[in-house]
Amino acid sequence: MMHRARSYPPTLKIKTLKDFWQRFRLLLRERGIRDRIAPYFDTEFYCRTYPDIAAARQQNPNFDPVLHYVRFGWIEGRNPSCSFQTTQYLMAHPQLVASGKNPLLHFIEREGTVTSPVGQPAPLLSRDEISTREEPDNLSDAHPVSLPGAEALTTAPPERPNEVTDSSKSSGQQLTTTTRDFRSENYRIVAASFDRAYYLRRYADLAAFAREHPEFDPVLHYLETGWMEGRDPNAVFSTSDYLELNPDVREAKVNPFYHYLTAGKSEGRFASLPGGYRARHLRSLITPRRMAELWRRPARETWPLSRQSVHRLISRALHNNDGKIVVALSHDDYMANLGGIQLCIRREQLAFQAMGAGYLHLAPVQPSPILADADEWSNQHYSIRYNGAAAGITTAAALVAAVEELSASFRDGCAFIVHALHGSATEFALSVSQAVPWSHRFYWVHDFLGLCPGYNLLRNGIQFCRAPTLHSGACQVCIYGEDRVHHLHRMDRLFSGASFEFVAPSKSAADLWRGFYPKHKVVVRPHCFLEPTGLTRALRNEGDPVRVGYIGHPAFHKGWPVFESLQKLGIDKDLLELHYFGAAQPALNGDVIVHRVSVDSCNPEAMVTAVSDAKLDFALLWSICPETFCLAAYEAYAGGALILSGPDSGNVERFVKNNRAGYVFANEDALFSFLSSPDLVSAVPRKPRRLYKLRFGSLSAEMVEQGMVAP
Amino acid sequence: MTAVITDKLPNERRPDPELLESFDQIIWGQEILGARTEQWLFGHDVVEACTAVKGPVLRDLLELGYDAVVYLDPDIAVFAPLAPVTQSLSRHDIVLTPHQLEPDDRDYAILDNEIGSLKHGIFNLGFLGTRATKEGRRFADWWSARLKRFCYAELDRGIFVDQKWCDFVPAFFDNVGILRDAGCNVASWNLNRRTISVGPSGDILVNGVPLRFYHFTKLGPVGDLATMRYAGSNTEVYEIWSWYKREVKKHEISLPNGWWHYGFFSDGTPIPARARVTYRRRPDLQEAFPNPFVSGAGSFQEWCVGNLTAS
Repeated sequence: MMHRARSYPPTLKIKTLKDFWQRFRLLLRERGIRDRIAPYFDTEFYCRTYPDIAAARQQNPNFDPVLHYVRFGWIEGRNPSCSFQTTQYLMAHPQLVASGKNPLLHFIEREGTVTSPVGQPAPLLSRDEISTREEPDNLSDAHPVSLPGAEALTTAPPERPNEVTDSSKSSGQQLTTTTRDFRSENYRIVAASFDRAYYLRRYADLAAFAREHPEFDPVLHYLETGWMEGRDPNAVFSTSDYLELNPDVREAKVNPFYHYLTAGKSEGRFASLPGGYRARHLRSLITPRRMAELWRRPARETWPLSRQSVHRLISRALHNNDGKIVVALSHDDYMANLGGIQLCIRREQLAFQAMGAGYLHLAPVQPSPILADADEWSNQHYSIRYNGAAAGITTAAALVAAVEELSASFRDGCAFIVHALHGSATEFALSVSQAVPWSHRFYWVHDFLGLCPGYNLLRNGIQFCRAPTLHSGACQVCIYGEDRVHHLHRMDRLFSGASFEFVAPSKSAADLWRGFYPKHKVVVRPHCFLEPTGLTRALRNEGDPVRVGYIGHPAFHKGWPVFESLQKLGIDKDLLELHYFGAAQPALNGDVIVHRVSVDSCNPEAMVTAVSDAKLDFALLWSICPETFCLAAYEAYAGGALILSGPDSGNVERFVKNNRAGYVFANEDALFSFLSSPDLVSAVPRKPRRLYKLRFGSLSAEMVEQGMVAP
Repeated sequence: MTAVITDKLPNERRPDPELLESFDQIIWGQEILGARTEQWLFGHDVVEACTAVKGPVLRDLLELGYDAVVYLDPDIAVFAPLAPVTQSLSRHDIVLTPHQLEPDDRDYAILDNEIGSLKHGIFNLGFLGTRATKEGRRFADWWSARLKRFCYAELDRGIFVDQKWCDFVPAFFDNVGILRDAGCNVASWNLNRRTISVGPSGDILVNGVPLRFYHFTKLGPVGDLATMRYAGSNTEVYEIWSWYKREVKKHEISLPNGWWHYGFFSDGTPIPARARVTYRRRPDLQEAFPNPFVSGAGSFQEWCVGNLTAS
């Protein structure tokens, strides 16, 4: 909305004495109104919201915004503060338009209170109160009075309830044409492309208000404040993207959707960021080293165990287990952190203990998404757990020295296992590997750090790269490419010197690994299997919406942006119901049904149960990188849901195809088309869904026990 | 590899040797222009000057005995061997790449691209290949002569620096090769007809053929918008742009913002465009002020203050 502030003082021509007195009386009356409403008028808000007012004030020190509102502003539909909506008030009191009475004055004289959209009565704020009020950071934290956009939509009951209805024939009609006259052209243009139903489906706070106030106009809301709050008028146009991409529109402070419809579209400007979530992610790309810096924890004073103390610890473990010790290395403390790999390691530890071996777990105290530098690896701190119990912190040098000193005490059946090298130096792993004549040295392909510093094989964090040759163009332009040469050199030295037995949790992971290391022999050992229970879950009710859910941590590479896009599509809730299953608390639309689920060693099938109880129809597992296993796929299927996945999802795609467990779409457009189809329900199987139990393995332990080593 | 630089570092600083180690030689543009260099440079802005020296440098390099010269703009990055270029040069004496290889079909693209090329030149002179043949030398002589006298951004007169002159090349010269390889000289002005992808082995492809060189024109918000306008959802384009921005940042040197030695009077005042244009069109001013960059009493700068309205 752009208006030029009307000139002031008024230009009533004075020709006679009568004219003079008429003008004098007018000025007095205006002054009186001005003084009455001034305490409730927020000048800063008025100038901030309407740039022409700010400009007029700057040009003319005598310009009075309050007087402007008295004379012109309310007629133009401007708001005097964030707690009073002029247009909405006039719609509720159409007689004011005909009478010419200032709506804010009318309101002050009548009640001076506002019923906020959440039903909590709140006082109309005076200017002093407004100036000391804190602005809310987001909608969900908003104080009822200060709820942006929806606030102060007055519902004060009319003095004569019938008058509203009676006047609809005359002033109501007048209202339609008069109060919207000031921006009737804007309104008409925007309304023609505005999706009212989408707006209310997308923004639950406004939908709730609209249910209480049938006169609420989403188009008007968007024109007046919605666009400033970053709300979108339909599923295609992104207000925030348009303002970001078009700084000229942003600086002009014009309504971006109006600009797009009247000029931007024909100029070839985009309704939303081209390239979608991948392009958006690329704009915030940081180098792996910078990421490692951001992961850096503040240094805490620690007293690492000395070499002698570590020696005693390991010596005791060897003694207690007849010289049979397993040393496992991963990226974090598996007992303190919740996750699939961590639970797998826990099972492995317990299984080795059952086999009579002691289990020493090592994890770098300073986590990192990449390898630790080679230069100072010996000083790196590691936390030690022995059979699951915390045993202290020590240095890498102390560990290697202790292990070397006790080398002769390690008996047959000892194993060195590398689950993850993130945060560790390959030089440390090599030293440990060469310190002892281990019976087994396992390297688990839980991810692809062995192929690239970008362990997800996402080129620039957005696109599966297939681990191309080292000096390819793809590596050249990738943020991980510069470090890849040195990284692979270190990995090569480790693999050459350590004589690992490579183990992958799926064939797809093994195939990808062998594609880069053709000489490696890789054994496939899944983390779990599906065991039929003979049970089926309850049938869905006729007329139920199709239930689609996201399972697990809301991570970019796991397809979380795609699930967010589903929320923004605004699909009819009667047709499609969105669910979230997990322990995280992501920002979600009000329409998404949340199931708080924590999977741990005490309740390893919590997710299966949740999926089954919710009668989830489809689990959206849209990994954009190749999953080496994906426990979520097994959990979803075990709970009776089918899987929706995309290309490049690795073992998810293979699982779906091998088990006829859902659909693999070529791209996101195909997925959205499927979910938007009015026939979506026909894709849901009518037969009762079978339920399965997850039969977990014990990783390296079962391989040792069953003699499953690389041929 | 030869770098052509028409500039001086602040305070007569010498360039860091490491910066220039990729080049076999540096040619300083201001040293090859002959007599009245300062006057000539004063009459050209940075784009005009840096494009004008290409002609004389080409001519001189051919005279030095090189078999062929391939020119690339400094905002071009090479991603794969330039086999199509060398192959074309083996058959032709002059090789050019057009801005576009096929017509556009949308109004805004026609306005941006085709009409843009009508105004600024059919061929993009961010790339040029010339062989040291008789025809190649004849072209170099002709182009050098034109650029010394008429290398200006004067679209109203139909001149656009060095580039628009080359619209004449297929008419004036024989054995001209127009390189129609989609992997050469990819830029925002032809992105709507070229799709960038990455092959299974990591090769960057354009319409299925290897990307040879990409022209990163207008680094900054303007270039970003132009790229988005035509790249659309082709995220690979944004990936290579992201790489380019990182590389530029990695190799940037410390210079005052907007630095060009010949962009300022000696007292540090930026030279207005009107001053340049007026000077180059007025031989009398050139005679009266043989050292136009100098500030102070009796200088051309002083004359401008008194005689030219603010530009």
